[in-house]
Amino acid sequence: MNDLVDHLFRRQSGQIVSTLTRILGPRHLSLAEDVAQDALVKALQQWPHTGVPDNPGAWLIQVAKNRALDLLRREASFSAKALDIARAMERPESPAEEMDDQLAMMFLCCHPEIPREARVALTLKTVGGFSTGEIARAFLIQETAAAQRIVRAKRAIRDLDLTLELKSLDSVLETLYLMFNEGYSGDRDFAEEAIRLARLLAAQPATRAPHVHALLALFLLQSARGPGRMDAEGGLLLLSEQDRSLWNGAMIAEGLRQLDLSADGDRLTTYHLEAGIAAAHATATDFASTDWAYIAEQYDRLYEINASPVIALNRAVAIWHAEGAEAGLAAAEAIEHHPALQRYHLLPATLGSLWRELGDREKAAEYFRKALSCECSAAERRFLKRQVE
Amino acid sequence: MESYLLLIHESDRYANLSPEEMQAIFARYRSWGQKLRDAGRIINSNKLEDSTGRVLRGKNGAVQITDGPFTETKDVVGGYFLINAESYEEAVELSRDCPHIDFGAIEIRRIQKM
Repeated sequence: MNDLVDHLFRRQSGQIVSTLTRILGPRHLSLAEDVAQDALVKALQQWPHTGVPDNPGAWLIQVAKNRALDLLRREASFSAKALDIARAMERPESPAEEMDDQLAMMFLCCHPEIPREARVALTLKTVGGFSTGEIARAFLIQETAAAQRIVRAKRAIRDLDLTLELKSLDSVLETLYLMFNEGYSGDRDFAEEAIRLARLLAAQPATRAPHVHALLALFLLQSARGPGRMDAEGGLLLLSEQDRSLWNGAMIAEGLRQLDLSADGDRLTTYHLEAGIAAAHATATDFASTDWAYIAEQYDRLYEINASPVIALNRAVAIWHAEGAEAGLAAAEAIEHHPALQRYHLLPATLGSLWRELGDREKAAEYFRKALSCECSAAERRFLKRQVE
Repeated sequence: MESYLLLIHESDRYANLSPEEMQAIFARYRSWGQKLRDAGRIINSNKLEDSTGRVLRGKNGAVQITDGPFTETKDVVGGYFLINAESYEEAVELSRDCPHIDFGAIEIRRIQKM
Protein backbone atom coordinates (compact mmCIF):
# COMPACT_ATOMS: atom_id res chain seq x y z
CA MET A 1 0.00 0.00 0.00
CA ASN A 2 1.40 3.36 -0.98
CA ASP A 3 1.59 6.03 1.69
CA LEU A 4 -0.56 9.11 1.43
CA VAL A 5 1.16 12.34 0.51
CA ASP A 6 1.58 14.66 3.52
CA HIS A 7 -1.38 17.02 3.91
CA LEU A 8 -3.27 15.25 1.10
CA PHE A 9 -6.64 15.67 2.86
CA ARG A 10 -6.04 19.35 3.55
CA ARG A 11 -4.72 20.10 0.06
CA GLN A 12 -7.51 18.17 -1.59
CA SER A 13 -10.09 19.96 0.50
CA GLY A 14 -8.75 23.26 -0.87
CA GLN A 15 -8.76 21.85 -4.39
CA ILE A 16 -12.35 20.62 -4.17
CA VAL A 17 -13.58 23.95 -2.77
CA SER A 18 -11.72 25.89 -5.48
CA THR A 19 -12.89 23.72 -8.37
CA LEU A 20 -16.51 23.48 -7.23
CA THR A 21 -16.64 27.22 -6.62
CA ARG A 22 -15.55 27.74 -10.23
CA ILE A 23 -18.22 25.36 -11.54
CA LEU A 24 -21.06 26.44 -9.23
CA GLY A 25 -20.18 30.07 -8.59
CA PRO A 26 -19.12 31.83 -5.36
CA ARG A 27 -22.75 31.76 -4.20
CA HIS A 28 -22.29 28.06 -3.50
CA LEU A 29 -19.03 28.35 -1.56
CA SER A 30 -20.55 26.88 1.60
CA LEU A 31 -21.96 23.94 -0.32
CA ALA A 32 -18.51 23.37 -1.85
CA GLU A 33 -16.99 23.33 1.65
CA ASP A 34 -19.65 20.93 2.95
CA VAL A 35 -19.19 18.41 0.17
CA ALA A 36 -15.39 18.59 0.47
CA GLN A 37 -15.79 17.65 4.13
CA ASP A 38 -18.27 14.88 3.26
CA ALA A 39 -15.82 13.41 0.75
CA LEU A 40 -13.03 13.29 3.34
CA VAL A 41 -15.30 11.64 5.91
CA LYS A 42 -16.31 9.05 3.30
CA ALA A 43 -12.65 8.32 2.58
CA LEU A 44 -11.96 7.91 6.27
CA GLN A 45 -14.83 5.44 6.61
CA GLN A 46 -14.29 3.55 3.36
CA TRP A 47 -10.55 3.32 2.73
CA PRO A 48 -9.80 1.19 5.80
CA HIS A 49 -11.91 -1.51 4.09
CA THR A 50 -11.24 -1.00 0.39
CA GLY A 51 -7.69 0.32 0.55
CA VAL A 52 -6.53 3.66 -0.81
CA PRO A 53 -7.55 4.14 -4.45
CA ASP A 54 -4.80 4.52 -7.07
CA ASN A 55 -5.47 8.22 -7.39
CA PRO A 56 -6.85 9.32 -4.02
CA GLY A 57 -7.09 12.98 -5.06
CA ALA A 58 -9.23 12.16 -8.09
CA TRP A 59 -11.38 9.81 -5.98
CA LEU A 60 -12.06 12.55 -3.43
CA ILE A 61 -13.01 15.18 -5.98
CA GLN A 62 -15.31 12.74 -7.80
CA VAL A 63 -17.10 11.85 -4.58
CA ALA A 64 -17.47 15.55 -3.77
CA LYS A 65 -18.87 16.33 -7.23
CA ASN A 66 -21.42 13.53 -7.01
CA ARG A 67 -22.51 14.70 -3.59
CA ALA A 68 -22.81 18.30 -4.82
CA LEU A 69 -25.01 17.22 -7.73
CA ASP A 70 -27.16 15.20 -5.34
CA LEU A 71 -27.68 18.21 -3.09
CA LEU A 72 -28.29 20.63 -5.97
CA ARG A 73 -30.93 18.41 -7.56
CA ARG A 74 -33.03 18.98 -4.45
CA GLU A 75 -33.01 22.73 -5.09
CA ALA A 76 -35.93 23.95 -7.18
CA SER A 77 -33.88 26.61 -8.95
CA PHE A 78 -31.36 24.08 -10.13
CA SER A 79 -33.14 22.58 -13.16
CA ALA A 80 -32.37 25.42 -15.57
CA LYS A 81 -28.63 25.01 -15.35
CA ALA A 82 -28.63 21.33 -14.43
CA LEU A 83 -27.24 20.02 -17.69
CA ASP A 84 -24.40 22.52 -17.93
CA ILE A 85 -23.32 21.87 -14.40
CA ALA A 86 -23.60 18.10 -14.71
CA ARG A 87 -21.46 18.24 -17.84
CA ALA A 88 -18.85 20.43 -16.16
CA MET A 89 -18.79 18.01 -13.23
CA GLU A 90 -18.25 14.98 -15.44
CA ARG A 91 -14.94 16.07 -16.92
CA PRO A 92 -11.87 15.62 -14.74
CA GLU A 93 -9.68 18.70 -14.41
CA SER A 94 -6.14 18.66 -15.75
CA PRO A 95 -3.39 19.51 -13.24
CA ALA A 96 -3.06 22.93 -14.93
CA GLU A 97 -6.80 23.59 -14.51
CA GLU A 98 -6.57 22.57 -10.87
CA MET A 99 -3.81 25.14 -10.35
CA ASP A 100 -5.90 27.78 -12.13
CA ASP A 101 -8.87 27.00 -9.88
CA GLN A 102 -6.73 27.49 -6.77
CA LEU A 103 -5.33 30.75 -8.09
CA ALA A 104 -8.79 32.06 -8.93
CA MET A 105 -10.00 31.09 -5.45
CA MET A 106 -7.05 32.90 -3.89
CA PHE A 107 -7.87 36.05 -5.84
CA LEU A 108 -11.49 35.76 -4.79
CA CYS A 109 -10.54 35.49 -1.10
CA CYS A 110 -8.29 38.55 -1.39
CA HIS A 111 -10.74 40.61 -3.41
CA PRO A 112 -10.73 44.28 -2.36
CA GLU A 113 -14.42 43.88 -1.38
CA ILE A 114 -13.50 41.36 1.31
CA PRO A 115 -12.63 43.01 4.65
CA ARG A 116 -8.87 43.11 4.92
CA GLU A 117 -8.69 41.36 8.30
CA ALA A 118 -10.75 38.45 6.96
CA ARG A 119 -8.65 37.69 3.89
CA VAL A 120 -5.98 35.58 5.56
CA ALA A 121 -8.51 33.49 7.46
CA LEU A 122 -10.68 32.98 4.38
CA THR A 123 -7.72 31.99 2.20
CA LEU A 124 -6.48 29.54 4.83
CA LYS A 125 -9.98 28.08 5.15
CA THR A 126 -10.93 27.72 1.49
CA VAL A 127 -7.68 27.29 -0.45
CA GLY A 128 -5.59 25.89 2.38
CA GLY A 129 -8.10 23.44 3.83
CA PHE A 130 -7.51 24.55 7.43
CA SER A 131 -10.41 24.32 9.87
CA THR A 132 -11.86 27.33 11.67
CA GLY A 133 -10.53 25.89 14.93
CA GLU A 134 -6.98 25.60 13.60
CA ILE A 135 -7.11 29.17 12.30
CA ALA A 136 -8.50 30.50 15.58
CA ARG A 137 -5.78 28.77 17.61
CA ALA A 138 -3.03 30.25 15.44
CA PHE A 139 -4.46 33.75 15.67
CA LEU A 140 -5.08 33.36 19.41
CA ILE A 141 -8.75 34.24 19.02
CA GLN A 142 -11.93 32.46 20.04
CA GLU A 143 -13.24 29.95 17.51
CA THR A 144 -16.53 31.86 17.35
CA ALA A 145 -14.66 35.06 16.48
CA ALA A 146 -12.79 33.29 13.69
CA ALA A 147 -16.03 31.76 12.43
CA GLN A 148 -17.67 35.18 12.40
CA ARG A 149 -14.80 36.66 10.45
CA ILE A 150 -15.13 33.92 7.86
CA VAL A 151 -18.91 34.17 7.65
CA ARG A 152 -18.72 37.92 7.02
CA ALA A 153 -16.17 37.38 4.29
CA LYS A 154 -18.29 34.68 2.69
CA ARG A 155 -21.25 37.02 2.65
CA ALA A 156 -19.15 39.54 0.76
CA ILE A 157 -18.12 36.84 -1.70
CA ARG A 158 -21.60 35.78 -2.71
CA ASP A 159 -22.02 38.42 -5.35
CA LEU A 160 -18.47 38.57 -6.64
CA ASP A 161 -17.26 37.28 -9.96
CA LEU A 162 -14.74 34.53 -9.93
CA THR A 163 -12.54 36.12 -12.53
CA LEU A 164 -8.88 36.55 -11.94
CA GLU A 165 -8.50 40.31 -11.69
CA LEU A 166 -4.85 41.15 -11.83
CA LYS A 167 -5.42 44.42 -10.04
CA SER A 168 -6.01 42.31 -6.93
CA LEU A 169 -2.54 40.81 -7.18
CA ASP A 170 -1.10 43.22 -4.61
CA SER A 171 -3.87 42.33 -2.19
CA VAL A 172 -3.12 38.62 -2.73
CA LEU A 173 0.57 39.21 -1.99
CA GLU A 174 -0.22 41.22 1.12
CA THR A 175 -2.44 38.36 2.36
CA LEU A 176 0.30 35.79 1.74
CA TYR A 177 2.79 38.05 3.53
CA LEU A 178 0.54 38.17 6.62
CA MET A 179 -0.07 34.42 6.39
CA PHE A 180 3.66 33.76 6.25
CA ASN A 181 4.43 35.97 9.22
CA GLU A 182 1.65 34.38 11.22
CA GLY A 183 3.19 31.01 10.40
CA TYR A 184 6.78 32.06 10.96
CA SER A 185 6.11 33.08 14.54
CA GLY A 186 3.55 30.37 15.30
CA ASP A 187 1.97 27.68 13.13
CA ARG A 188 4.62 26.49 10.68
CA ASP A 189 1.95 24.97 8.45
CA PHE A 190 0.70 28.48 7.61
CA ALA A 191 4.18 29.54 6.49
CA GLU A 192 4.43 26.41 4.34
CA GLU A 193 1.04 27.16 2.83
CA ALA A 194 2.08 30.75 2.06
CA ILE A 195 5.18 29.40 0.29
CA ARG A 196 3.12 26.89 -1.68
CA LEU A 197 0.70 29.57 -2.86
CA ALA A 198 3.51 32.02 -3.67
CA ARG A 199 5.16 29.28 -5.74
CA LEU A 200 1.87 28.85 -7.63
CA LEU A 201 1.77 32.58 -8.39
CA ALA A 202 5.43 32.67 -9.43
CA ALA A 203 4.99 29.72 -11.79
CA GLN A 204 1.90 30.93 -13.68
CA PRO A 205 2.45 33.20 -16.69
CA ALA A 206 -0.69 35.17 -15.80
CA THR A 207 0.45 36.05 -12.29
CA ARG A 208 4.24 35.99 -12.28
CA ALA A 209 5.75 39.42 -11.79
CA PRO A 210 8.99 40.79 -10.33
CA HIS A 211 7.45 41.52 -6.94
CA VAL A 212 5.90 38.04 -6.82
CA HIS A 213 9.39 36.58 -7.22
CA ALA A 214 10.63 39.00 -4.55
CA LEU A 215 7.96 37.84 -2.09
CA LEU A 216 8.72 34.16 -2.75
CA ALA A 217 12.45 34.90 -2.36
CA LEU A 218 11.74 36.54 1.00
CA PHE A 219 9.68 33.54 2.20
CA LEU A 220 12.32 31.02 1.13
CA LEU A 221 15.29 32.93 2.54
CA GLN A 222 13.49 33.39 5.87
CA SER A 223 12.19 29.82 6.12
CA ALA A 224 15.57 28.34 5.21
CA ARG A 225 16.95 29.79 8.44
CA GLY A 226 14.08 28.47 10.57
CA PRO A 227 15.81 25.21 11.67
CA GLY A 228 18.56 27.17 13.45
CA ARG A 229 16.29 29.49 15.42
CA MET A 230 15.70 27.20 18.38
CA ASP A 231 17.89 25.16 20.65
CA ALA A 232 17.12 21.56 21.61
CA GLU A 233 14.76 22.71 24.39
CA GLY A 234 12.76 24.94 22.03
CA GLY A 235 14.38 28.14 23.30
CA LEU A 236 14.96 31.01 20.87
CA LEU A 237 18.54 31.61 19.81
CA LEU A 238 20.03 34.93 18.81
CA LEU A 239 21.24 35.20 15.23
CA SER A 240 24.81 35.30 16.56
CA GLU A 241 24.26 32.02 18.49
CA GLN A 242 22.73 30.04 15.63
CA ASP A 243 24.40 27.05 14.01
CA ARG A 244 24.35 28.08 10.37
CA SER A 245 25.02 24.56 9.13
CA LEU A 246 21.41 23.79 10.09
CA TRP A 247 20.09 26.29 7.56
CA ASN A 248 18.48 24.76 4.48
CA GLY A 249 20.97 25.25 1.63
CA ALA A 250 18.64 24.11 -1.14
CA MET A 251 15.99 26.58 0.01
CA ILE A 252 18.53 29.40 0.17
CA ALA A 253 19.62 28.58 -3.39
CA GLU A 254 16.01 28.62 -4.59
CA GLY A 255 15.47 31.92 -2.75
CA LEU A 256 18.47 33.49 -4.42
CA ARG A 257 17.22 32.32 -7.84
CA GLN A 258 13.86 33.95 -7.11
CA LEU A 259 15.66 37.11 -6.00
CA ASP A 260 17.45 37.18 -9.38
CA LEU A 261 14.12 36.86 -11.17
CA SER A 262 12.73 39.75 -9.12
CA ALA A 263 15.37 42.15 -10.44
CA ASP A 264 13.25 43.27 -13.35
CA GLY A 265 10.88 46.12 -14.13
CA ASP A 266 11.06 49.54 -12.50
CA ARG A 267 9.13 48.89 -9.30
CA LEU A 268 11.14 48.52 -6.13
CA THR A 269 8.76 47.06 -3.56
CA THR A 270 9.18 46.43 0.15
CA TYR A 271 9.32 42.72 -0.75
CA HIS A 272 12.46 43.39 -2.82
CA LEU A 273 14.11 45.22 0.05
CA GLU A 274 13.14 42.67 2.70
CA ALA A 275 14.27 39.81 0.46
CA GLY A 276 17.59 41.63 0.00
CA ILE A 277 18.01 41.81 3.77
CA ALA A 278 17.10 38.13 4.19
CA ALA A 279 19.61 37.24 1.45
CA ALA A 280 22.37 39.20 3.21
CA HIS A 281 21.76 37.11 6.35
CA ALA A 282 21.35 33.82 4.49
CA THR A 283 24.61 34.19 2.55
CA ALA A 284 26.81 35.46 5.41
CA THR A 285 29.17 32.74 6.61
CA ASP A 286 28.94 33.98 10.20
CA PHE A 287 27.46 36.79 12.26
CA ALA A 288 30.59 38.95 12.23
CA SER A 289 31.00 38.93 8.44
CA THR A 290 27.36 39.92 7.82
CA ASP A 291 27.14 43.00 5.60
CA TRP A 292 25.38 45.15 8.21
CA ALA A 293 26.04 48.39 6.32
CA TYR A 294 24.12 47.01 3.33
CA ILE A 295 21.32 45.83 5.62
CA ALA A 296 21.12 49.25 7.32
CA GLU A 297 20.88 50.86 3.89
CA GLN A 298 18.01 48.53 2.88
CA TYR A 299 16.18 49.52 6.07
CA ASP A 300 16.69 53.18 5.18
CA ARG A 301 14.97 52.58 1.86
CA LEU A 302 12.25 50.51 3.48
CA TYR A 303 11.60 53.34 5.90
CA GLU A 304 11.29 55.78 2.98
CA ILE A 305 8.48 53.63 1.51
CA ASN A 306 6.87 52.76 4.82
CA ALA A 307 7.71 54.98 7.79
CA SER A 308 6.81 52.33 10.35
CA PRO A 309 8.43 52.42 13.80
CA VAL A 310 9.03 48.66 13.60
CA ILE A 311 11.18 49.21 10.52
CA ALA A 312 12.95 52.04 12.35
CA LEU A 313 13.70 49.63 15.19
CA ASN A 314 15.17 47.03 12.82
CA ARG A 315 17.18 49.82 11.22
CA ALA A 316 18.57 50.72 14.66
CA VAL A 317 19.70 47.10 15.16
CA ALA A 318 21.47 47.13 11.77
CA ILE A 319 23.16 50.45 12.59
CA TRP A 320 24.27 49.00 15.95
CA HIS A 321 26.10 46.13 14.22
CA ALA A 322 27.39 48.29 11.37
CA GLU A 323 28.56 51.32 13.37
CA GLY A 324 28.63 50.28 17.00
CA ALA A 325 26.38 50.32 20.07
CA GLU A 326 26.45 54.10 20.58
CA ALA A 327 25.10 54.77 17.09
CA GLY A 328 22.57 51.95 17.54
CA LEU A 329 21.41 53.38 20.86
CA ALA A 330 20.93 56.84 19.34
CA ALA A 331 18.77 55.32 16.57
CA ALA A 332 16.74 53.22 19.04
CA GLU A 333 16.22 56.06 21.51
CA ALA A 334 14.86 58.22 18.69
CA ILE A 335 11.79 55.96 18.59
CA GLU A 336 11.65 54.96 22.27
CA HIS A 337 8.56 57.06 22.93
CA HIS A 338 6.73 56.25 19.73
CA PRO A 339 3.13 55.55 20.84
CA ALA A 340 2.80 52.52 18.55
CA LEU A 341 5.75 50.77 20.21
CA GLN A 342 4.75 51.14 23.83
CA ARG A 343 3.55 47.53 24.16
CA TYR A 344 6.03 46.12 21.62
CA HIS A 345 8.43 43.82 23.52
CA LEU A 346 11.24 44.00 20.95
CA LEU A 347 11.86 47.72 21.62
CA PRO A 348 12.81 47.36 25.32
CA ALA A 349 14.51 44.03 24.52
CA THR A 350 16.74 45.80 21.98
CA LEU A 351 17.44 48.69 24.35
CA GLY A 352 18.32 46.15 27.04
CA SER A 353 20.84 44.42 24.76
CA LEU A 354 22.33 47.79 23.78
CA TRP A 355 22.81 48.90 27.38
CA ARG A 356 24.34 45.56 28.28
CA GLU A 357 26.90 45.98 25.51
CA LEU A 358 27.55 49.52 26.72
CA GLY A 359 28.26 48.13 30.17
CA ASP A 360 25.23 49.35 32.14
CA ARG A 361 23.85 46.10 33.52
CA GLU A 362 21.26 47.76 35.72
CA LYS A 363 19.67 49.69 32.87
CA ALA A 364 19.82 46.55 30.73
CA ALA A 365 17.91 44.47 33.33
CA GLU A 366 15.35 47.23 33.71
CA TYR A 367 14.60 47.16 29.98
CA PHE A 368 14.43 43.36 29.84
CA ARG A 369 11.90 43.42 32.70
CA LYS A 370 9.92 45.99 30.77
CA ALA A 371 9.99 43.73 27.72
CA LEU A 372 8.64 40.87 29.84
CA SER A 373 5.66 42.98 30.84
CA CYS A 374 4.59 43.15 27.15
CA GLU A 375 2.75 40.43 25.27
CA CYS A 376 4.96 37.91 23.49
CA SER A 377 5.19 34.21 22.62
CA ALA A 378 6.18 31.59 25.18
CA ALA A 379 9.53 31.04 23.46
CA GLU A 380 10.24 34.78 23.48
CA ARG A 381 9.28 34.96 27.16
CA ARG A 382 11.76 32.23 28.04
CA PHE A 383 14.42 34.06 26.06
CA LEU A 384 13.78 37.36 27.85
CA LYS A 385 13.82 35.68 31.26
CA ARG A 386 17.26 34.32 30.40
CA GLN A 387 18.42 37.90 29.73
CA VAL A 388 17.18 39.25 33.06
CA GLU A 389 19.01 36.61 35.08
CA MET B 1 -9.27 -20.21 16.28
CA GLU B 2 -12.72 -18.74 16.19
CA SER B 3 -14.18 -16.13 13.91
CA TYR B 4 -15.41 -12.80 15.16
CA LEU B 5 -17.34 -10.10 13.41
CA LEU B 6 -16.37 -6.52 14.25
CA LEU B 7 -19.33 -4.32 13.45
CA ILE B 8 -18.33 -0.70 12.91
CA HIS B 9 -21.09 1.58 14.13
CA GLU B 10 -20.92 4.81 12.17
CA SER B 11 -20.59 8.16 13.80
CA ASP B 12 -21.28 11.69 12.66
CA ARG B 13 -18.46 12.89 14.89
CA TYR B 14 -15.93 12.51 12.09
CA ALA B 15 -17.59 15.48 10.39
CA ASN B 16 -16.27 17.91 13.02
CA LEU B 17 -12.63 17.04 12.40
CA SER B 18 -10.32 19.19 10.31
CA PRO B 19 -8.91 17.62 7.12
CA GLU B 20 -5.49 17.39 8.73
CA GLU B 21 -6.92 15.59 11.78
CA MET B 22 -8.84 13.22 9.52
CA GLN B 23 -5.69 12.28 7.67
CA ALA B 24 -3.89 11.60 10.95
CA ILE B 25 -6.74 9.34 12.10
CA PHE B 26 -6.81 7.56 8.77
CA ALA B 27 -3.08 6.88 9.10
CA ARG B 28 -3.72 5.27 12.52
CA TYR B 29 -6.71 3.35 11.14
CA ARG B 30 -4.62 2.04 8.29
CA SER B 31 -1.71 0.89 10.39
CA TRP B 32 -4.17 -0.86 12.69
CA GLY B 33 -5.66 -2.70 9.68
CA GLN B 34 -2.20 -3.49 8.33
CA LYS B 35 -1.13 -5.01 11.65
CA LEU B 36 -4.12 -7.35 11.58
CA ARG B 37 -3.58 -8.23 7.94
CA ASP B 38 0.14 -8.93 8.49
CA ALA B 39 -0.84 -11.28 11.31
CA GLY B 40 -3.25 -13.04 8.96
CA ARG B 41 -6.24 -12.13 11.13
CA ILE B 42 -8.56 -10.49 8.66
CA ILE B 43 -10.75 -12.94 6.76
CA ASN B 44 -12.88 -10.32 5.11
CA SER B 45 -13.75 -6.67 5.43
CA ASN B 46 -16.27 -4.43 3.75
CA LYS B 47 -17.80 -0.99 3.89
CA LEU B 48 -21.58 -0.98 3.57
CA GLU B 49 -23.22 1.65 1.37
CA ASP B 50 -24.18 4.73 3.31
CA SER B 51 -27.70 5.55 2.26
CA THR B 52 -29.19 2.39 0.83
CA GLY B 53 -30.82 -0.53 2.56
CA ARG B 54 -34.02 -2.53 2.80
CA VAL B 55 -35.74 -3.99 5.79
CA LEU B 56 -38.16 -6.81 5.18
CA ARG B 57 -40.94 -7.74 7.64
CA GLY B 58 -43.65 -10.28 7.33
CA LYS B 59 -47.09 -9.00 8.16
CA ASN B 60 -50.21 -11.14 7.92
CA GLY B 61 -48.56 -13.37 5.32
CA ALA B 62 -47.40 -10.45 3.18
CA VAL B 63 -43.90 -9.03 3.02
CA GLN B 64 -43.54 -5.47 4.09
CA ILE B 65 -40.45 -3.76 2.70
CA THR B 66 -39.10 -0.49 4.04
CA ASP B 67 -36.00 1.55 3.35
CA GLY B 68 -33.65 1.31 6.21
CA PRO B 69 -32.41 0.74 8.76
CA PHE B 70 -30.99 4.24 8.74
CA THR B 71 -34.34 6.00 8.88
CA GLU B 72 -34.91 4.97 12.45
CA THR B 73 -31.58 5.64 14.07
CA LYS B 74 -28.31 7.35 13.40
CA ASP B 75 -26.46 4.46 14.98
CA VAL B 76 -26.13 2.19 11.96
CA VAL B 77 -23.53 -0.40 11.05
CA GLY B 78 -21.36 1.14 8.35
CA GLY B 79 -18.89 -1.66 7.79
CA TYR B 80 -17.40 -4.79 9.25
CA PHE B 81 -14.21 -6.78 9.70
CA LEU B 82 -14.41 -10.57 9.94
CA ILE B 83 -11.35 -11.69 11.92
CA ASN B 84 -9.74 -14.71 13.54
CA ALA B 85 -9.14 -14.69 17.27
CA GLU B 86 -8.59 -17.20 20.07
CA SER B 87 -11.26 -15.74 22.32
CA TYR B 88 -13.42 -12.71 23.01
CA GLU B 89 -10.54 -11.42 25.15
CA GLU B 90 -8.16 -11.59 22.21
CA ALA B 91 -10.72 -10.11 19.81
CA VAL B 92 -11.10 -7.17 22.19
CA GLU B 93 -7.33 -6.86 22.47
CA LEU B 94 -6.99 -6.75 18.68
CA SER B 95 -9.71 -4.10 18.37
CA ARG B 96 -8.95 -1.75 21.22
CA ASP B 97 -6.37 0.33 19.36
CA CYS B 98 -8.61 0.85 16.33
CA PRO B 99 -9.00 4.67 16.19
CA HIS B 100 -12.67 4.31 15.30
CA ILE B 101 -13.59 3.73 18.96
CA ASP B 102 -12.83 7.40 19.66
CA PHE B 103 -15.78 8.26 17.40
CA GLY B 104 -18.22 5.37 17.31
CA ALA B 105 -18.76 1.93 18.79
CA ILE B 106 -17.25 -1.32 17.63
CA GLU B 107 -19.51 -4.29 18.37
CA ILE B 108 -17.82 -7.70 18.54
CA ARG B 109 -19.85 -10.86 17.89
CA ARG B 110 -18.56 -14.42 17.77
CA ILE B 111 -19.60 -16.51 14.78
CA GLN B 112 -21.65 -19.55 15.94
CA LYS B 113 -19.96 -22.90 15.32
CA MET B 114 -21.79 -26.07 14.36
